[in-house]
Amino acid sequence: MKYLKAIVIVFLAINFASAQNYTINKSSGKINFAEVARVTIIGHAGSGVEIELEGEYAGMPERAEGLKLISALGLTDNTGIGLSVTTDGDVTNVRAVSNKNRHRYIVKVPRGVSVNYEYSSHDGGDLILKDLPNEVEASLLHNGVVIENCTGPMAISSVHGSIDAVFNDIAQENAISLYSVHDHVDVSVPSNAKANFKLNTSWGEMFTDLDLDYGDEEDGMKKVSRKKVVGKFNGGGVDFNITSTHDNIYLRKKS
Amino acid sequence: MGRISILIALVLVSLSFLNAQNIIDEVHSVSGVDEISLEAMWGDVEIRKSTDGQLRIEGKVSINRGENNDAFDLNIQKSGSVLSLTSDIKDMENLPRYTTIHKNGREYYFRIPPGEDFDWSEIPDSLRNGKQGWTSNGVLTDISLTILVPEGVKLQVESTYGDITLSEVTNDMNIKNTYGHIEATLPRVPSNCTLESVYSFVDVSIPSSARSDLKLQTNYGEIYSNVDFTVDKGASKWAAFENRVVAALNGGGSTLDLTATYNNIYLRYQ
Repeated sequence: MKYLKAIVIVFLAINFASAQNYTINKSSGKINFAEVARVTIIGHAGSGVEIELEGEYAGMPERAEGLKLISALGLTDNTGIGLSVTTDGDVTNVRAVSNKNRHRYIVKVPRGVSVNYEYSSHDGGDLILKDLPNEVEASLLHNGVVIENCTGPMAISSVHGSIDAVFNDIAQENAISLYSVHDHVDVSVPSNAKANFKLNTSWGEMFTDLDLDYGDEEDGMKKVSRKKVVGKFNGGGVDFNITSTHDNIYLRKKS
Repeated sequence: MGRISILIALVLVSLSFLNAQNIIDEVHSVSGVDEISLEAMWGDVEIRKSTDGQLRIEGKVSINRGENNDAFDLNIQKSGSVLSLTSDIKDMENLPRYTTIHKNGREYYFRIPPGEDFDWSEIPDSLRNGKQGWTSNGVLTDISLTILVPEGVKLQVESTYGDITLSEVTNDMNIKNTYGHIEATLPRVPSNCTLESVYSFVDVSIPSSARSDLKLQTNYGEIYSNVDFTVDKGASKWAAFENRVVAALNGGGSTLDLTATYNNIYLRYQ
């Protein structure tokens, strides 16, 4: 019986992996994803970070039996799904070890875990963020970002990719920033959302169907041509910065 | 007539395992030789340690199921301190070709005389129907060479289509293969050991005592290992299509440089 307890404790304490998924015992702190291609991050009510695979995982070749996948960063695949997971205090770092898999990682994150994602390769696909009330930071070089039903706070940037975001609610605690250098930023917000929008483009156009209060009328005249717009929506609220340096900004009411 | 000839070909194939081979068995002195250079376009090459201080070349050659074995050319020349071995197939473009249908675990050969094209409509229905197979086309080659090399002579090997196996060889070596793999079991890592395959894997076994400066590089493959080393992150590189691991084994020493551009690298303890 004593041995049975010990076995149960071991199983509870360690992170465990099956052939196609991996769970990290984590419900608070921060999780960093570095150079992991094709990731969907979804908020969930569970107590751990669950990583699943969408699509077939090539796995280890038969010839590699008894060996470990290694990378130039000195990392080894300790998950069985091509990732290195390490923990430093309340920060968990997830890095890709394999650079040739073509599947998507579906990551379910508890509410109390803040998320950071960095990806610099042109390989891979869009980052998808879904159903997250969590704090999120993301920085991409080539790929786009799709945001569905997240509340912020968040700071999302992509140099060459677009940002498409649909909000059902906007958290009022901290700012939201969506920034693309070379592609469009398209944002939908509910009609009752409260925000101080700051829209900025150098070479693109700005389009909106929101009734923004610009607050800078002089003698009943509005400035209608500008590259930077500051406007309150529904009396104002959290700062909501939208920038597309070389492309258009679309800010619309969520239908 | 065409259908009859096809049937005859099939009968011949099914009856015949008279796949005549030419046997190669040569011995050469390496007196005054510092380097052995081998260029092998076709066939597998196994390199082993010679126990009598001589260069020995053993092999079996079958070209077009024995019909064109004489087209195999093994040329050996000494220039200064370099002994050069070149193996090739003479006048290959004018040899008969075979269309081979691989189906149901068997091969069915259709001989195509030089200058003629294969008439695909003549494939009998029995091979068209049923489970899917696959087809290859070209001169049939079944060539294997075993090179026994004395210690202390540098090896320079370049192959195109075959696999290369190195067993118990401790010579300094620079081995390059294009389409075939390289497998090496090294009882000790020589001072300079460079192994590269462009399209296939490189699999190397080393002793746990090996003291080497290690470089492992692949652009489109993976690196697998059970060898205990600490990666030099400053000299290594991790990018979308470049994975280069630089590390010192047991404090470093000899050069062990492995490259598999489009395939995997396996580095393991013996």
